[in-house]
Amino acid sequence: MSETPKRGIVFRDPVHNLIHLDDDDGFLMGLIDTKPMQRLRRIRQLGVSWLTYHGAEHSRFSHSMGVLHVAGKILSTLIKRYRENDDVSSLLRENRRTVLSAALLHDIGHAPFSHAMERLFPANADHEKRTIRLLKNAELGIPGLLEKAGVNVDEVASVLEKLHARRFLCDIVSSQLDADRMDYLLRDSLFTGVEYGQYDLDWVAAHLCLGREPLSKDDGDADQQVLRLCLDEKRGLYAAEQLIIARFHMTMQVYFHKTTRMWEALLLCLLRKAAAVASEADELLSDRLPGTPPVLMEFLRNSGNVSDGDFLRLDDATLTTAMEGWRASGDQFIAELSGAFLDRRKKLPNGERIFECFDLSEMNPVSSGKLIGSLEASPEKYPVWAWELDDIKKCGSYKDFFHTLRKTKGKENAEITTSIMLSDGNLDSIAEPVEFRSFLFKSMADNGVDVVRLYAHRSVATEINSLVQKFNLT
Amino acid sequence: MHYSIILPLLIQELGQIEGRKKFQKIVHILQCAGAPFDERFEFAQFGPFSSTLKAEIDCLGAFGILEEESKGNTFVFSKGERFSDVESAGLWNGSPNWSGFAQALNGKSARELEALSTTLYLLDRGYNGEALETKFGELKAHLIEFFVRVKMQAEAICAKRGDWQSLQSSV
Repeated sequence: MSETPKRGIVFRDPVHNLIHLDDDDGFLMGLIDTKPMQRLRRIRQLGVSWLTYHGAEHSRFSHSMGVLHVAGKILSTLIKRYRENDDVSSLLRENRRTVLSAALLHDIGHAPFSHAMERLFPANADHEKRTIRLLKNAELGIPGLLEKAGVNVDEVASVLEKLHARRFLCDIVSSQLDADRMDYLLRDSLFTGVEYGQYDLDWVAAHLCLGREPLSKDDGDADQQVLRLCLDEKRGLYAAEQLIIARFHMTMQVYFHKTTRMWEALLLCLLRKAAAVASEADELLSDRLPGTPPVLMEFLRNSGNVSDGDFLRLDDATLTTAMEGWRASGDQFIAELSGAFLDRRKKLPNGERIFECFDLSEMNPVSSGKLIGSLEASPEKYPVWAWELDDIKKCGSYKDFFHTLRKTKGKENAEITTSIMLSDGNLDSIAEPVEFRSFLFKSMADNGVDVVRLYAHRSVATEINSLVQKFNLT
Repeated sequence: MHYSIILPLLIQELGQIEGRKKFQKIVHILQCAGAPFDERFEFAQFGPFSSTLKAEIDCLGAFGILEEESKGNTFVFSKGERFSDVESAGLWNGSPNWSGFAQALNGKSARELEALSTTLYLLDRGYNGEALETKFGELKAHLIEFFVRVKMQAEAICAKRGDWQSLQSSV
């Protein structure tokens, strides 16, 4: 384990330039050196986006370091702003290490290829649950390091799970104004080369404040009023607009890029088929899944239910190594998709596309329900590994802007549970969702965008195309 | 099950749901009890909340399948003008086995459902015994009157997941 540094430590970072750890924060070096954190160096931040944007090779580790840095900036702003309020300033100082630990460790539960794998097995649907398991696993060393630093591991967990009694501490790590979004927008923008993701981080971070949760006023109980992380209403509006526009553009241009999502669908279909084969008799496996690392075989056989130790042995390389062996699979589907993924080959030599994409965004949901119901009702004809429905509404993991901005018909109808809040910084003031102040946001809310696509392997694409035409007409 | 099938089915069985909070909590509790809702929930001001569910309801509202009507301080959800599109689509085979349980939940107040949903969420996150009561008290002090009852109900829901007849009598 690393020794506590004497003069602080400085990391170079491509987004934030320099990330400083003060002497007081030396315990973070111990956390950085743990196996769960170091594994994040081997998991790409953007799943399979590097197949579309060749620069998108950055890791969950570098993002986690960035989140730590931004969380520190947010805490500094709040401590400075409320330095004359003893209650708030002591609360912030007492919980500083807890919040920084949560910020650093928030992604340790990610499976290979990040969010892509959350759609493979229900056991991996929520990476935050695995994060909490790893965080609390004494054998992995994190609880001991936290205890030595005077940090309660359960408090860190409650910040990550948004179950901390002081809600604004959770907001710093996970909310519409969190350190997580603030880092990943800039980092993903830099590494993909999509410049629309840029916004003024320094201005946003410098104008954060606290305000009372607007929903609490209707709750009938003053004790339930809680403080939320807000932007200063006088200086934050345009910064909030810029942040939301950056998220909108990154969502459409990067996170939901049609081709990237096709590679994700291909990967999911490949692994679903591999999981089905893995549960077959042992004697077939050397032919069907040649060269599969044992830990991946366990993962596939147990639908993602593996021990923490085995989970930490899974990373992007484990999967791509397996795919290299699967090129020679006796199962034609597995061989074809493995080669297609590794060689970034969208078509067969005869020009036939391996996956077709059907855009269902404009389809009446009843029609899309009928379509999907038809596919699910005939698993022999449309096996689960031959198609993938990709609906932006299901992808809260990408923290898009849609959930905040839908259907804001008027003040009383705004969805304020997930909004960016504005406040004058007075702790007695009720915060206000930014949609109420922003003409731009109201316009966007009234013209919401939906993205629903169905990706189909060539073996079922013709039949699915017929179904899409049929249900689109009904 | 696709949201455009199961959410209208829920309204078909319940007639109407009074309040966004109540809608969210009923779906969360049904999911915990084993009904095929697949939305992801996170903890928010009023307990477990799914932004996916919110978006799905909005989408069904935009197509006229569900109606969201402002009534006093709340919003009432019922069948929309194009609800018949779903009925005539033949997507349902009679009432689902979770119908009675859903109706029992709909008969409760939003506050009690918030308490039950929160307790289920905490149990799922590994809170038990004293830790469960302490965390519930920290987060939902104004609902503490419900705690003893909803704890028993939540434990029964976890133990009898999918056994709809037993579940109906446990709430």
